[in-house]
Amino acid sequence: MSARTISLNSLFASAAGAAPATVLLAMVLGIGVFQPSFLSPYSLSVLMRESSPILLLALAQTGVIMLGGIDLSVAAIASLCTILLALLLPPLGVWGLIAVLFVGTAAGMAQGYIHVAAQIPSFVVTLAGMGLWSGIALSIAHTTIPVDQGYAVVGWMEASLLGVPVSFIFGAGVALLLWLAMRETPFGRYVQAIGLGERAALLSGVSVGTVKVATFAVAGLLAGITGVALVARTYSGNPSAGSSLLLPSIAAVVIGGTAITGGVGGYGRTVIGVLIITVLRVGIAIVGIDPGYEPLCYGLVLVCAVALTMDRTRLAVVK
Amino acid sequence: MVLAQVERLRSRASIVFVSHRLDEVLQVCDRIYVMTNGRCVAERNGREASRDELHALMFGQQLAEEYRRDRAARHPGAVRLSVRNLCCGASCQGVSFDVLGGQIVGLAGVEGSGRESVCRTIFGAEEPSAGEILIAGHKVRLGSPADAVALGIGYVPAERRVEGIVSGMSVKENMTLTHLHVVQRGVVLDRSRERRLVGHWINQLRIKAPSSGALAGQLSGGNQQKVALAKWLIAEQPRVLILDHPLRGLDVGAKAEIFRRILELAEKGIGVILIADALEELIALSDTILVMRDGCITDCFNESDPPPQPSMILKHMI
Repeated sequence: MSARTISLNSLFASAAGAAPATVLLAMVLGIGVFQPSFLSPYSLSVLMRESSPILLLALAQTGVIMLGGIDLSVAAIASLCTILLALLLPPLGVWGLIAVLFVGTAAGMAQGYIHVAAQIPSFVVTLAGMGLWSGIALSIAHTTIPVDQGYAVVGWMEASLLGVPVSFIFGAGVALLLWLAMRETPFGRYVQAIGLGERAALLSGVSVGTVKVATFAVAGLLAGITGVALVARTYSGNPSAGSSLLLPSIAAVVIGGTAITGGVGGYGRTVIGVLIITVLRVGIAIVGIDPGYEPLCYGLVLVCAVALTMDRTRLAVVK
Repeated sequence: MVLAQVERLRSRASIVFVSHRLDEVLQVCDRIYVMTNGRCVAERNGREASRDELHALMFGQQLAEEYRRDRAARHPGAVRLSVRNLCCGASCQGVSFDVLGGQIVGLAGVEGSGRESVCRTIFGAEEPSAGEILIAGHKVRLGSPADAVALGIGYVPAERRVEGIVSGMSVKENMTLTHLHVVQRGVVLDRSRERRLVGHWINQLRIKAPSSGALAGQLSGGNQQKVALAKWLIAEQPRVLILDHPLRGLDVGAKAEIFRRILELAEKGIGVILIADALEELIALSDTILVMRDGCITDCFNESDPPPQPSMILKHMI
């Protein structure tokens, strides 16, 4: 009986590893047949440009989900950072950029600290954080703040290199760096251990609290970088600039094959997941479905992906 | 108080009374079933049964004479760990003892006697409400297991699959999890060094696994226990190793092997704190046995004394 469970599990594991890439390929080819111009270099570069904020935000989310938690505040932190950046870029230039990234990191770190020190579930802390950060963003500015000076500090992100958007190259570079860190460093090993078995990791002497706070801090930093990418894209800051990205970023992580229960998956899978979500988004438009249905699709994708990848054997009760 | 209620109710209701306090059982019960290891081993009439007979039925007649170790061969070293007047809430009150290098200290007691609590407190997993922990004579404050590990304390928990190993990680990753710094080069992991180190210990402990990359959760219980043990041994030797039910749920062969490993650890000079349910095993392995009941140490059998009989220990446990 146990032998059968094990072989089934490994079958699921290998299927979960290859399935997202297969889905992505099938979608690209499918849409390509339906609309051949979809595969043109121009349209692919639009696709990549479109995907980079979701990519950055999904990378922020991946580390936290690998721990077995979730960070609902990343989009709100990104929005807050667009506002702060729009305000600070004109007077401070590059120092404004550094200050904003610092704020993002500190916000993530604070949430991680509260999660660990007060032993509150991460989804509660970050749900409260989501309210707090968007509240602060709204109290600073009710509406769009245009960036009239100092745009050059962030504008490089919107440039293209050999037809590939720099923002996408940047996002892919960050993903590669994080992927290496997760695979090759003790820190990455600790994150996986906590996601797979927090009690055992704790009792093996892993500094679970420190690892968690650091992971949330990285999530905050990446959310801040997402904010920077959004300012580069829109030449402005807006208190709700990132809010529509929360759902697709979480959907991207799980459709890529990272288990919502933690430990299994990683940054490489998130890149695939982000591409699937973006192709889905563009595909919806090409097929002629009203873009208003977009969130509905993300919701369906999220539920189906979690249903397929969640490891129920590790939860006594599904709450 | 409770017993009076039971007496009052027995005219109106049938009562199932579950207890390890044999005096109470003998006082109120008409019929007694003795269970060990999930099986009902005996049925006795409440008026005719005696305390000693129940003891013997609960813990098995046969003494583990074959396990008796050669005590004279070893020389306990300096004091590794001292616990002074340790209290943690209601579960342990004023516990004091020393662990010497190379000594195996057995903690006897029933579930809830506080012995698990003492171990978890020494490992930093529970906060003491009062008292001191001294390592090599220096007072220490243990805020988390990570602090305890840094001071050379290891812990093999009773809940092997949930606490002893990360089931979803490989044998290799489990074995190096505690001491990743020894397979680290710069900021990254040195995989070939990790493979060599793990390979050495897989041979040393004769861990049977398809490969060092196999998931630890797929190994048999005995091999999982060896993995849980190995992670404390691959780096510098721990000063003190706490073993919570290291033989629980293992088959006879695996038991004998882990048993030998524990003796080897002590011979290497590690101070061992041992919890075991089977008193024969505890007596056979331990130099000193501390008996706990209701959070206090009720008796102590030293290595200079003749080895105690299980019934002598039970008297102070229950």
